[in-house]
Amino acid sequence: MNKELLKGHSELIILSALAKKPMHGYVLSEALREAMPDMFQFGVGMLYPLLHKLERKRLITGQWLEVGHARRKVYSLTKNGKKQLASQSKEWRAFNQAINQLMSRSS
Amino acid sequence: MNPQEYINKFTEKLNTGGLKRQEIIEELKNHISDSAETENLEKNIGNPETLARTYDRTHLGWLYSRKRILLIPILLGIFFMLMQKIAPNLNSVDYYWNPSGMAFTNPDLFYFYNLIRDIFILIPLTAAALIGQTAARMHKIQTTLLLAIAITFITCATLNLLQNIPRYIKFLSTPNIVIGTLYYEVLFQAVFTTVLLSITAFCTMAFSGWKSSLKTQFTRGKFYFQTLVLIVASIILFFVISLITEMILVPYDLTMPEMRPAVGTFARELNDFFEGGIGAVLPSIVVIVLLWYSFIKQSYNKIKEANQLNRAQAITFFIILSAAAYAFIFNLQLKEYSSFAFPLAALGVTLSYLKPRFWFVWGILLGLLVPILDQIKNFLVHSPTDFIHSGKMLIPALLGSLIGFLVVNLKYSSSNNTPRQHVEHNKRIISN
Repeated sequence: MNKELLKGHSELIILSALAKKPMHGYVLSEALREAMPDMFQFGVGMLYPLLHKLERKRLITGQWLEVGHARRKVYSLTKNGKKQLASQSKEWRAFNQAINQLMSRSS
Repeated sequence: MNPQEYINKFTEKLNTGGLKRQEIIEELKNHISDSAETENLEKNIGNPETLARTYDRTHLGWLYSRKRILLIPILLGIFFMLMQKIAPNLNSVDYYWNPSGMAFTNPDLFYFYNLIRDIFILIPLTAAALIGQTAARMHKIQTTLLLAIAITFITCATLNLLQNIPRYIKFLSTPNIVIGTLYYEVLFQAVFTTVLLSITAFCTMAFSGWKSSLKTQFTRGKFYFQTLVLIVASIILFFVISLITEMILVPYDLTMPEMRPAVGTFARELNDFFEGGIGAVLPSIVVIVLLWYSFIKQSYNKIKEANQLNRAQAITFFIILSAAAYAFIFNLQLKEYSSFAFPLAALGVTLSYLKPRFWFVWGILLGLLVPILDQIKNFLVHSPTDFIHSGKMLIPALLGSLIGFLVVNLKYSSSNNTPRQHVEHNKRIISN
């Protein structure tokens, strides 16, 4: 798997996952592990800095909450994040459709 | 590498400081504990050094490495050298009380030189502030060194003030002395620390809003304390900006009427507008209102939801006001010891703001003091525990105080114009 491909869509993947429900880092990494094939796995070294980057861009927000008996930073989408997700999803569908069409023609 | 070793290695390599640092480390600890991984952490999570660098890139931007920070003084140096080549005359702008100065030969030109000079002040200062801001987030030896130098400087100023009090009293009680000048000097020295503290508190709160820290709860007491700081800071800021307005925008206030530009000219009208009435306080009012607006909006919307423009506006104010406060305070109030510690910052008739050596010194000083301001912000906006944690202040504070004390005393011991020598001189006169 080309790492650049994963990097290029990493924001969309995280935003999509958080759109379902707010999660803290570990739960999110588990959710991604289950949902994505092996070749698309996020390492911790990529996941957390990316979460921080999205937080800085105000696309997600992190709040320290009591989860069970421990404090965890729970991430959720902001208004801007929802808008960004909608826009990126639209772009992704259009791109995906175009690639599929091209590939079906060539095959 | 076991979890503790991994965290230790990661913490050692992480440059990002302040509250964000605590968050990052706590989050990583949580992840390791949730995943119940005890071995092969390097394989499963990655190299701790690489991970730390990734975080630093996210939080410190392009200045995340030391080598990149060095670029700033190099660029500043090139800028000053170019300015010398392009506009050498800008280095010799004399003030209006100098009879041979430009103000008397070409007032319009003089006025615009002043304006240009003031615009250029902000360029190196802003760059230096950015360096300082970055350095403030680091927890490395160089930050400790920077803090030590900055505290040295502050200690010099404080000791200077204390040692000069007898002299001021003596001068103020002597007839035929221009009391106004001395009065202002004493007044400004007295508010030196307060002004910086207040400006910092106010401006940083303006872009952080009410924000409780990671480990402390937001309390009513804290709310009242912060409100009080904001009110006091607003009042002080109002006066400081009014004074800066007069310094920058009213260049002919002490010039004899016949020597001023003719009525109706742009320079004269602008000068007269800012000299009195609403014009004299207009910049103060605009700044205060905008900062309060920014602060209130941030507080209501919370920092995470506030719009970029609002945040950028507050940050810009913070940098500009800090720069202006420095230009103002250092040029007017620190002349006593500047001749020793900062020989190029000698004050009086010629300010020569654009002299490369001169502004390089001020720019670096601003850069040095910003880490201190950042720590003060941590204290006021967050909590005393963050202040102690993030600053590692004790060592540089002690070191800085010691050096400052030595510098001031060395200076006075080698000077012929100390309060102590004044007293001795007077005693001799009396005994004779």
